[in-house]
Amino acid sequence: MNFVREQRWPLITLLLYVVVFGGGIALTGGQSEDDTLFMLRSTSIYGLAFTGLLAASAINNECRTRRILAVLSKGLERGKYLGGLLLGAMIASAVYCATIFAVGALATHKVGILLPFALMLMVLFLLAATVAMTFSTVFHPLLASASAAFLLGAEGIAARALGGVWLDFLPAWTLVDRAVNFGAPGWHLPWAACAWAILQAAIFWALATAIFSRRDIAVAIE
Amino acid sequence: MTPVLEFDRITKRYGGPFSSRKVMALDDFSLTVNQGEILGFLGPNGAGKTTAIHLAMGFMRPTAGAGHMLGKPFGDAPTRRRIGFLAENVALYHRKAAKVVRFYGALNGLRDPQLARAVRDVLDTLELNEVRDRNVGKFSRGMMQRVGLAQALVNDPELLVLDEPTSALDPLGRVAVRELLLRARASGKTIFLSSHLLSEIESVCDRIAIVSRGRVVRIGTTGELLERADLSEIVARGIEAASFAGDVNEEGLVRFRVFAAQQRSAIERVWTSGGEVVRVNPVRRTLEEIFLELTSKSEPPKPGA
Repeated sequence: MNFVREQRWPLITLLLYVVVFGGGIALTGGQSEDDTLFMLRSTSIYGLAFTGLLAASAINNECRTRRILAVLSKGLERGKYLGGLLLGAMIASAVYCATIFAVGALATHKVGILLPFALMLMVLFLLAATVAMTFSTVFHPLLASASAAFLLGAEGIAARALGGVWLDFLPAWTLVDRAVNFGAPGWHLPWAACAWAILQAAIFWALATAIFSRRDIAVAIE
Repeated sequence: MTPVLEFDRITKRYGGPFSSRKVMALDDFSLTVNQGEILGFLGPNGAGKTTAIHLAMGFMRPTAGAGHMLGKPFGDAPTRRRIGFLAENVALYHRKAAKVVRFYGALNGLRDPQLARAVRDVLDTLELNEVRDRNVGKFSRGMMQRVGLAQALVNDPELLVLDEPTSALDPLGRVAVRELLLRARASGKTIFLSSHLLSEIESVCDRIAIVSRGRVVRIGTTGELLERADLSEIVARGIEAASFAGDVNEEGLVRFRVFAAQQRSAIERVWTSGGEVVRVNPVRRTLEEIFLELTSKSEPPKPGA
């Protein structure tokens, strides 16, 4: 929760965007369903970028502010510490997804399809956050974000080229595709891709823990 | 004596294989802190003090050598539950003071009702109870340092590792911390104290280690360090100051220094001159003199060492 508190201003700014933009559509009425869907699709991609950047900068922020020293001086394993940061990023994402769900429900009244959409976004954000955090254990946050985007992009391209079951095994493509095509006829929650994404996130978290447990915590001496 | 903290021939080199800037922060560094003592850790900026502390806390790994804390290798998380640590320029989450201390206590496995009692007691000890509901983000550096000390003490640690604990405190705060350290030692705790305040080190520490260029250059009890065994001061009356290259003090006594090996013959000279020896003592220097002597001989760390 400390992590979420520290990141409250960028989160509030993003939430305000969703509420003002989505609320405007809902209250003015008269807008086509396409406008509402466009809002939901675009905000889901903003959320993906936000979560990735948030997770990529978490370790660096803690080192830069030197807060990491007091925390890791306690009887806390580094893996748990990393898990706490990831949980913080996911709490921020959950608040964001809940806002998308609420605004979407207000604007479209399609609760039945919005709930699986919000759950799928959570899984997509979890995958992005763990991959970005893994890279951030060795790279600067910007390079970590770029590396995560590159890796997930390459995964997506590979899945699309291979097709078939690979669209589930390498779930980045499927999840992003469903996010940007939300509301299209026949849209449904990709259960298998979600399950593989959670497994992939767990593998990346284990990898991040292994790397972070072995690296020096370098803080600036003032 | 049981060692509570032990650095065994530790080397720490900064800079990876592709880095152009490599610095040897610690070079074959060995030091032992015994149970129940306050060991003062002195050294100029860049001598390797903070690196040594960060290695002990497991924030980084040595390039070579090993170390133990309470019998376990450096970096053992369960062992850290028995440690209290205060970093130089403490940085904490911006929450209410009591909640901050509670948070760090909980990280060490404390749970209510012990946690609530420990938080209340430590806030009382550090006179923070009046500001317990104020956000630490609005605290002065001195107040922040007190909260830092509170989070270090909340788990009633066996070993306290303190990096400049009084650097931001006013004189009253320094006295309070000094008393706190002495009380902690009296209750059997061990304290590893890094500080630039020589008077503070001199007044509370049982032993002092002076580090320079990544090595311990002198270690001993405060008395051993301050007294020069090779030089004696003789105070006498009834002699000519000029004949002994001495000076006359405010009581009219002549005071002069001789090497310990020449002490006997100097005393005999006083007697044969018709004088009387009042006292003979080993020369006592200030910690500042010793510190400057030991550290000014050393050059700053060599890049690429």
